[in-house]
Amino acid sequence: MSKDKISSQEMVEQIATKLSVSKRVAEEFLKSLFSEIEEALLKGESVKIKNLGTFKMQWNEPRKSVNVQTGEVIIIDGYNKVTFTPDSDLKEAINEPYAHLESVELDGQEVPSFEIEKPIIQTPETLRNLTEQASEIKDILSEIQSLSAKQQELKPIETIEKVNETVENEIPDYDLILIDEEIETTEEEIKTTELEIEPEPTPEVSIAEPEVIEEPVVSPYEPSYPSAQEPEKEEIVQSPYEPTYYTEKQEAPKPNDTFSEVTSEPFILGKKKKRKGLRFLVGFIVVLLIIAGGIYATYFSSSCVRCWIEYDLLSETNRMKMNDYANTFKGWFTSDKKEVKNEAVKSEPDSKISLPADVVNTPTDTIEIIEDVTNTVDSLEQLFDSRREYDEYLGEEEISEGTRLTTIAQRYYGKKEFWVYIYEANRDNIVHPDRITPGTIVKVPKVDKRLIDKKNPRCLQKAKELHDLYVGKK
Amino acid sequence: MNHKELISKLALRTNLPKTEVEALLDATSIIVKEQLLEGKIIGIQSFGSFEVRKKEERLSVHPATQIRTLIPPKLVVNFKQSNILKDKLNEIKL
Repeated sequence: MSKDKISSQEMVEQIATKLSVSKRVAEEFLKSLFSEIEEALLKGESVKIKNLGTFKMQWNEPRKSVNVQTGEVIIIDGYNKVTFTPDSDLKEAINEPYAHLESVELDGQEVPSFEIEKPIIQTPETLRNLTEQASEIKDILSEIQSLSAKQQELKPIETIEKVNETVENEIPDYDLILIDEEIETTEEEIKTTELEIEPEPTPEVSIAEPEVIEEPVVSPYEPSYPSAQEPEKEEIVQSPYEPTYYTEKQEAPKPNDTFSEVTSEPFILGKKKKRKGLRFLVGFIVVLLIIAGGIYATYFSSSCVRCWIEYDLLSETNRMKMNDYANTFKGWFTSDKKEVKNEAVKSEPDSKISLPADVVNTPTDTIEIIEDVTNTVDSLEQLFDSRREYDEYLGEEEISEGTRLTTIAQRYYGKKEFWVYIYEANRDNIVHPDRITPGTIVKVPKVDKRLIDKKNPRCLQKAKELHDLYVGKK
Repeated sequence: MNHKELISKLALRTNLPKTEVEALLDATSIIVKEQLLEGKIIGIQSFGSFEVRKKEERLSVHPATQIRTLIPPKLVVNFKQSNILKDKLNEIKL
């Protein structure tokens, strides 16, 4: 853009040639035009010229300012200023080069993917593995059933560890917390272990027995549940240990319900991660979730639970047997989580009874699982990094005035962010994605479904990275 | 003062018929527009200058809804008064 300045003299010449009048006339006219405008402005009037704009005088109020050099406050006097507002015609003509651009709301699409979806990023991917993990766990559980009691004490360790590392389907909310804060949340860990243990003894003894295991383990943490908040439970349940049990029992078979609660949880967790001091708060939220689950349980399975209690009271002898099991389990928990030992020992004085020597082996299992997770994550990463070849095409589109790659992407892939792949496939025809000449034929490529998974925030993020790459370059 | 008033005043001042004044005025505004489109600065002696300026794109945040909006760049006509005019205006007010 050349910044040549045109003087009044040149203006006069141009007017003269345009209307084929003498320069003298044009000059006189121009002079009188602006002196007329000036006079009108001095009178405080505004002057409106068709197809050009409006001149107006504006009073600028005196204001305070600071002398940059001395730092003292100075007052800038009020003054008059001529403002010129161009006519809409002129304004549009001037802005022609940028007329096609429209303001874009960013919050609609991009921002949520960073602020809200990001915390969830980890969950969907790990959950994908979880289906595999879940089946593994099932296998292990069936193995356990056939094994002796001592081995039972060992196997739960694996299952529990998996739960911790890979965010188990059944109780994701606990696990998310567990990953972040191992020490504080061992209370929850113990509870999760109950869930895992639960199915194991059942084949051997009666249905009521699992409950007996839980009682001693849960009892120390019982006070943390504000009883005032669960009056419904207390009406139905006589035993003081029962409430916690219901919550867990109920949450386990209903993964969907708990998971919906969890989706809001990671958001909080993401922040908490850095602030260890707030771990306590997270624990409290978990407790609230459990209570919510308990209330849910009492509504939907109160009758079932009642049967359970009665059954439980009858089988006193079974209870005695299972107490032994419970002690051994507790012993394991305290030994495995040495950080928490003090706390756990305090609450469970008879915990050190039997510590299986094979416990040492368990860490290796967990490491393998972690590797598993990273491998699957890498496969997606590899997919992103690998060079994309486009051989198959879904169709062709002719770019007309107003058509953009994003609109085509929206039509074919369901998400406008994936326009970058169309651009990649048509790089020979398109110089810059923002400047496509109308009439260009664009081939819409067939892209790997995993790349254009609009539900996967990572795909969106990748597309955005590519977007920045392509739009940024000139 | 609107367009018509301006024409009649100019006609009085220049002793030209209104139609001619109107033609001259139209020509002036057309030339101003053309020159601005070419990216030139139009300086009018003792009055001021017209210039096209580019307003860069920016991110605006709606204070109430917190919705962030990307405002695209645009070209605007900018008028800067000359110091002579400025002084005259201030003399009047003070």
